[in-house]
Amino acid sequence: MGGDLAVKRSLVVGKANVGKTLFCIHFARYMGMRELRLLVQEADGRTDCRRLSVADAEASLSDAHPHRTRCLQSIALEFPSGKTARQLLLTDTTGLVAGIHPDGPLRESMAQTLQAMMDADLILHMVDAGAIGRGIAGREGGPAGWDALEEQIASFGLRRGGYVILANKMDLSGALDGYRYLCRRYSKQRVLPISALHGTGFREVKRVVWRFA
Amino acid sequence: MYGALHEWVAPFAALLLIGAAIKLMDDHLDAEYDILRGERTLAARFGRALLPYGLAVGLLAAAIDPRLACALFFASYAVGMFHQLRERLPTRLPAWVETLAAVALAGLTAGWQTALWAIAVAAVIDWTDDLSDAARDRLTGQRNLAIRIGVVETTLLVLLALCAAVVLDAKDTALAFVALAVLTVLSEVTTVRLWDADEGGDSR
Repeated sequence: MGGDLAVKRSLVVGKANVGKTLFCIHFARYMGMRELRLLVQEADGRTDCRRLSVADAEASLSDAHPHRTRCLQSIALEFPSGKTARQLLLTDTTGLVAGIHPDGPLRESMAQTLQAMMDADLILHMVDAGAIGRGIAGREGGPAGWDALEEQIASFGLRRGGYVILANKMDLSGALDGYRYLCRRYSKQRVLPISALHGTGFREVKRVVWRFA
Repeated sequence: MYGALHEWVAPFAALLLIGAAIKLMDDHLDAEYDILRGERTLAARFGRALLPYGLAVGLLAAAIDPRLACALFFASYAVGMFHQLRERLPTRLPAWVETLAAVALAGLTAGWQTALWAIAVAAVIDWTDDLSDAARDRLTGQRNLAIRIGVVETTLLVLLALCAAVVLDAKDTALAFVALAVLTVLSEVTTVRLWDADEGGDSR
């Protein structure tokens, strides 16, 4: 009857540059953390622990160029549970791309992400709702922002359970159309509209993540 | 008239009051999450004052019927930890030790028959809750017996526990479920909705 006492992991996955790292940093701040203690797991197996302020993390870990993150970076979040508190790792991952990337070490990092998806308790699939929305205009069939890679991540998540879609960049134009598209396509699934940049929609994410802790 | 008071009203009042104390305690532990999903329960509104109010309500129940009050309190304490038996609690003890201690205290303070009855009633309430929340909990990852061992198996356990409770004390079982209904209504009335929340579905 005993529950599983291992620390559970929620994995933030998605294509490159959808806002995964910024979400992790801002969500940790939303959870009340002023200093981030990052557990870094490199693709070659090395591990490291880094302490950064939220501002430093934002400046050094996230930027507009794709593939800034090339490892698993985890932050331990704490959630009250009955008389105790439970920890949940919020893990940022290397962005995925369709096809075979020419950069060998980057491919290894992506493989590390895929491996982590097999073991995660909760998959937070982050997508760029703005890109999806803008891609809808003038296209028949699926929008440009929702391609075969997103489809494969979604079908993997739906099969295994513990899967939530985070429709990010809701502050950008076209994002509402993208969000509506996702809601229609995944009508029985949780699709949470957020802005990692501005921290909107985090209350809903916290509610979902809490239950998996 | 006084016979009826002794036989029906006093145990019902004790069950209602100890049920209220248990509910307050439970809501207090869940207050943060309840607020997150848009529900400000009475326990959240009481804040720090919950401890004296909860103790007063619990002691009143114990003054009316110490046997029932102690049995139900300790039984609820034990059943509430079934989902996390290996977890280490603030006492530094694993939950299964506290569970055994609660069962032992129920037996010592109320007698073994009443303790068994109380455990059966608490289990019926807890597992029925798991059955009704199974679909939602599957989506949200919440610990749930029906998800862990199956809906049919949990239903059979609920029926088994209900049979045990009725065989051990049919009158108090009936009173306990009437008290539960009253407390559920009171909880609904006293809970403030902060916004519309649909936990099970998508959050559009």
